Amino acid sequence: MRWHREHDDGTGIPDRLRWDGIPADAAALGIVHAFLEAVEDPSEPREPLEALFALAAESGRRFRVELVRAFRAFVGGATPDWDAPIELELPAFDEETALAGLVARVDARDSMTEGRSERLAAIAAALAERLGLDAAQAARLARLLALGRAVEAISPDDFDPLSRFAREHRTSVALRAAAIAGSVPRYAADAPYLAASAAWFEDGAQDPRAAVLALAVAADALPPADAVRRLTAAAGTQLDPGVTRAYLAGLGAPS
Amino acid sequence: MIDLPARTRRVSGTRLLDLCRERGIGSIVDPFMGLPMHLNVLKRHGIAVHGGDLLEWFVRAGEGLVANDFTILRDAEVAEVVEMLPGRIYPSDLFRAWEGVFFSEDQCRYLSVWHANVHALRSDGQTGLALVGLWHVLCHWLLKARHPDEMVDVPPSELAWHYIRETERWVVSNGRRNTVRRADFATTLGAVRADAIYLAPPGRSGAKRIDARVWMWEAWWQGDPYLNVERLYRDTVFGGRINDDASYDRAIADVLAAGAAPYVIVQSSALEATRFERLVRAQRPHIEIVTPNDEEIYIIGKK
Repeated sequence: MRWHREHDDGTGIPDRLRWDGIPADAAALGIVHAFLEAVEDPSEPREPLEALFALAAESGRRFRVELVRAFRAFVGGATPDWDAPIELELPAFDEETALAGLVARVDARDSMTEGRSERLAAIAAALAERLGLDAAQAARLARLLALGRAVEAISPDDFDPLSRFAREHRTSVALRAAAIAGSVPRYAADAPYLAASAAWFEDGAQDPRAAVLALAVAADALPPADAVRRLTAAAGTQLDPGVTRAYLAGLGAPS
Repeated sequence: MIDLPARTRRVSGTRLLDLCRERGIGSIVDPFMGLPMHLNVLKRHGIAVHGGDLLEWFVRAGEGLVANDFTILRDAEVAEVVEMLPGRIYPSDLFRAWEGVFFSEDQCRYLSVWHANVHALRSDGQTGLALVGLWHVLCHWLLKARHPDEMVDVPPSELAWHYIRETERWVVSNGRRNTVRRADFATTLGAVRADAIYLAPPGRSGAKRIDARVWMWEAWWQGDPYLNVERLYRDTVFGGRINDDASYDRAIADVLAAGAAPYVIVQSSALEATRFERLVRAQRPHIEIVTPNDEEIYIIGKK
């Protein structure tokens, strides 16, 4: 990964490595990355053959000549012909799966957090469905929120989501997640819900999607034995009572 | 057509930066710097860097990339390098010896023009940057001669323009004093104080196996197409009989003994790591080995 943006002529980043000083794996990753960038460019998507011509124009400069030749053979078949159209079926990019994979990898860095974002997404999706909201969006919001927690230094054991002292921390995580979402056009519309997820119910009306996210975070972090008691106590002050009731009903707890 | 062997050593500035940061190293000296792209990367990240080499064009490149903090080549100045200036008389046959062997007549004429124009530049920094930019042109032409149908045709002056402008983004200041010198290792190591010495030791018979593009560019800089760079190494510790193990070990030990810095970082590969570990251990008792992969093994010795 470190060197996949290096150029064969020594003008790339970060080290300006040149020729065979660039590891073969990094060079291969670089050309595939450049090809997909050209094909999936949101402002000017190109046909595979067109994208390949763009790579060929960089032969000997950005990419090694032999690498471009091998990549053409790989994409176009055993007998590459520059004039024949390329029949290439690229699998559709599934951004939801990619996001889930990314946050799962981030969680897996620490055994304490492994699987956390998927747990959070499952709670949020189930609760959203019960409330008649978009379950897929709720799961996505939960995963984006998990990205906001990716750099947090506090271990999950120290984080009591219902404590007033944790409010500042929760707000900073939510704002960080909102900033990340806001920087990606596809997720920009989710940013306000993420930012609002740290707000308390008593502070004013909360969007139901943000309220679902707030409850999912609290429910995931609380010990199961305490969850019903503490969530019930927080309903109406910190958490939306309607959303809390729906969650507790789902657990089979008396409302 | 010239052979372009694939034997380039991977000298990664960011990898060195990681090693420096982990150990609180704030300055580093490389007595065999070569093209000092790694020193430029370290400089960009605040490390004070010093380098030395015997080939003059490496040192000139270092004056542009390492010692130079702010000078760039602006459009008008690049134009004065890449094109023949009206009214000026050029020795157009300076590199005629390469014509038909390595380059076309047109390319040889451009090499002569650029040689004159670069030598007429006003500052060391500008000279270094132009030299590095034009070196990329030389490499491009040699590669194009091997793969004429697989690389796009770019007019010489346009190619030179592109690569010289590319050097502009490499100029950076780190608020420290950074130096390069044309000198052997003993002079370089004796002239500067640094926290660490970085060595990517020359291989055995390194002068004989030097990349053609490197000696050709030294020949271009010197204006002598028949230049033989072996003579530059003949009188150094690496120039004599270093084909036998004992002589090569003595040469490396001489280099390690010449430096007084607390840290020595020797870059090696899986093949030679044991040898260098033994040699470093003789000079620096505390040894640490960092192995990101088999091609990059860093033997770090501390006093």
